[in-house]
Amino acid sequence: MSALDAECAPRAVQTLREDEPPPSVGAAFDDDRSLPVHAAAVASYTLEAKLDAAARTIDGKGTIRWKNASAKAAPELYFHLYLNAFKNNGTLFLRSPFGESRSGHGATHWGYVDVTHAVVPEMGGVDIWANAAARSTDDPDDETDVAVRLPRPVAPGETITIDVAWKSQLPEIVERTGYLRDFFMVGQWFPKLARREPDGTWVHFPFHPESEFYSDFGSYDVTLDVPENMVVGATGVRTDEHVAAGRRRERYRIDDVHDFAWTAWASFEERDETLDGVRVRVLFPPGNDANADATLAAVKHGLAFYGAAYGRYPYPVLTVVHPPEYAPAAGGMEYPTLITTGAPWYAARFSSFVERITLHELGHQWFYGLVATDEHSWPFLDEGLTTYAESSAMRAMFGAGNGVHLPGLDVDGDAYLRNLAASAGHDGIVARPAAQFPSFSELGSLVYARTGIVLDTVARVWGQAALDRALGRYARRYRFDHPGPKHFIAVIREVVGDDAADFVEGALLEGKTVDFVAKDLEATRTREKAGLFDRDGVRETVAPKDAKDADRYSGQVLVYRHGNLRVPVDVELRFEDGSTVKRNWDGHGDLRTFTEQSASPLVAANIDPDLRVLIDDDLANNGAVKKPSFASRVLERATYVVELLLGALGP
Amino acid sequence: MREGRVQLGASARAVMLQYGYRLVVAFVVAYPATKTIGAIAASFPGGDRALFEPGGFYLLEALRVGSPPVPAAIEGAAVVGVLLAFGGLFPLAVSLEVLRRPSASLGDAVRRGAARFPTFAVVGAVTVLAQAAVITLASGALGALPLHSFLNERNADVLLVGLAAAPALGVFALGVVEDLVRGEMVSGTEAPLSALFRALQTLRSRPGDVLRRLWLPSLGAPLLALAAVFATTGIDVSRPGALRVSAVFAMHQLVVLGIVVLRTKWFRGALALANSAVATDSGDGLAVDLDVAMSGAIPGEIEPHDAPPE
Repeated sequence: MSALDAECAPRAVQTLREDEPPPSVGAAFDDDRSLPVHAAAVASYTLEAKLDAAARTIDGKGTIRWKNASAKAAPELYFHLYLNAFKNNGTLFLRSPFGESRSGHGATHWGYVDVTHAVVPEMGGVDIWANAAARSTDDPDDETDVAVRLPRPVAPGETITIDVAWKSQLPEIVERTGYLRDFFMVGQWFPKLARREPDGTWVHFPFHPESEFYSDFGSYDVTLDVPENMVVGATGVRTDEHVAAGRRRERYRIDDVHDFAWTAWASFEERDETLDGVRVRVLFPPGNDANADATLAAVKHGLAFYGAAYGRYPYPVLTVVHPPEYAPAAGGMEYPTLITTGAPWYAARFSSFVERITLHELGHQWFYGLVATDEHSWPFLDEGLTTYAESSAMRAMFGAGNGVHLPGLDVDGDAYLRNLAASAGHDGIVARPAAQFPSFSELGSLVYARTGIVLDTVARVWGQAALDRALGRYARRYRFDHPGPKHFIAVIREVVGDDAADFVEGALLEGKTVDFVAKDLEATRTREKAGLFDRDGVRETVAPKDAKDADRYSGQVLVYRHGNLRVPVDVELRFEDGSTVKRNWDGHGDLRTFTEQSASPLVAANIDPDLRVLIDDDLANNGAVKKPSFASRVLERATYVVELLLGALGP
Repeated sequence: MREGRVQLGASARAVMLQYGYRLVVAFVVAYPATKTIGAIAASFPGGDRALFEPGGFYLLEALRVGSPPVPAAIEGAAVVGVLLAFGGLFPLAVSLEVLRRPSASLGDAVRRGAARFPTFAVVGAVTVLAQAAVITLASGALGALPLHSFLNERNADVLLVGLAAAPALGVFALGVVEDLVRGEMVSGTEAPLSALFRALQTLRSRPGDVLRRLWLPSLGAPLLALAAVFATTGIDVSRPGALRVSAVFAMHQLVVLGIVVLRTKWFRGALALANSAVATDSGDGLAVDLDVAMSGAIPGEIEPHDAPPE
């Protein structure tokens, strides 16, 4: 695309606030023709960073161009200095219950970022950092979220430049960012502006172990200076590479992103392929060739699958970083055009784990990267939707055995997700800020699993095609934008319908739950008329028929809906002769009695026999049977296993 | 062979004794957990066959709903299983007596087996302790090796597995020695220490003979179990029909029976290797034929220096 084309190409307009009435999206966003080509550039960074690999420090300098895209003048700026999360054990990150994080031990070597100056030429060249708060606004023990008062307000629509210099000390990796031995994964490493909403509200927050992302789009032009022997991977396109005096300088540029991360390690091996028009680099430790192959296969599948579902991947590059085995805490993360995975070297030979983690992080390129929701306030909008996307992509790639595939045993990843979601039970509302989750297991089961299973239930009850269209419309309409839950629900309502939207809203935003229960199954012979009957003045006596002669049966089962989440469900009635009938209940009310007249007695009733309502709290109370069958299959398998164990362990 | 006589041979009797014990114990151990899981699966469509459906939704749900009762049931069953596995020394002792003295009555073999049980138990306990010590020492030593500091992840792990093969072979060898000791004891060397000495002497002086008798039973058992996995994969027990369950049951039991047959074959070899004599009861008829067939040896192969039967 030429510069003129790029200038004239449609750009997204960042106008959304959660309290605004959600606009109608429309069918125009059902395909890629309506996709905005570029984001509105609000915060752009031109940076230089020099890594001292021995001291694990980064000397940084550069320029930030920031446009006040809000409707109000900005008397201050908010900067996120997230490396300060590792400055001492009193920070929000390290003192939180999640503080030990993926490392399992918390901080062992402290990290920090010291801004040495921040000069705004448009304001007389004063160093605004002299007016920077020393502590986070709402947390006196934290230094990751600081306000900087300006000499004068930045008017709406005005753009300022900030010449900034800083020094970062990288921590030993607690989670995501830092160093371990000679490996560097560098995220949240520079002073970064918080996002200012259209109404002039700054959305700023300290670095929390479970949330860190919400920023404006812009362009990044970053030059990295590292020891010559390092292999570097970074956000964006490598446009320049220069080696001199034992140092390697690489320049990376990219538009329409909202963050920049990089990695450097001398031992990286590299695969480089162009897939679907995207240059894909996989950086991996020696001995991980099978993992690299699996990663590339997953990326190839994912770019096509997600591209078709949620709009084409707009960037020319994607870098996948597989950290060394000793640095798993750096794995499983998403940054614009750069994702990290991670698994033992043999993982790809025995499981689909590598593909799963790759597809998950790649999915974030859409739900976090392109649809840039507020991870701090609404983590379900990126992790939940990405989990659903990952499940869909895995099923398309591996079929029913996408979770576990062994001879005679196929487990769908959704079965595991359902299990995880059900284990959260009624633990609380899904749509709440990350910091309000008291444990990672609760966040995991609600934000990741429950959201995924709620969407899967929508697909199974109201139709896969309808949900796919809704998610595609949402992802395309809000590309390069910042929607909230209301915008998401509005698109579900627009495409799938009111019932589905109410269901999603109830399940995610209001904490509603559902548990169908089948009870009191009965089957009786139909009683024929017997007794004295007056007909035309004549009294007739009808003798009761012998019960054995009756050839009709009346069957009945009670189906309760526990919980306050309404969802339609099928009920299958099974008769002694093997025949079945299926009835549907729209889910209104707390109880529905199903009665059936039949030639054969009713022997069993199963709610949701096709497993559509995966969000059902408990599947083990979905059936009612006249006479429970013996678990002969389980006994057979268990007996065999014990026999083998006796052979292996016994005399 | 004595004409018209229908009698199970010694090996067949030994096989049936051990297989029967294993089947009964397995059933006893498996039943409580089966009842617990079965009670959960009763409300699934089709009962417990839903547990085997592709996708695993009902399987995982049963495990979720069944926690903690299912793990508790399995834990309880495991304790019973360990005790009954230990009790398996008794049918083993009887089986060895049957193999050693094919013409003796079952009652006689049971009496002798019962008398031998305490010594077998001591030898078994010592062997398990020795194996545990090897595993513990090897784990500690291998864990302390700084392989990852000079090898990449894959090469370090591969080397580690290679090095772990040595202690694994050691654990296996201890089991072999235990079997040879049992053979020596049944063949007349009553004192365990003397039996151990003779077993080690056999290993040292005739390693080829030991390996020749050992390789098929050792490799055959895991291969049979593996074959069963693939053979039963094609039978979808998530579909209705008792015939499918019966077919899988039959295949699995054939595998277990095959493993027991191989094990019995090895015990015959161990007895033959023992310095004491193995009875070659000329009046055993069919038993002799079956025994010869299973051992793959001819009667003359039994060591010439074996002591005469008691």
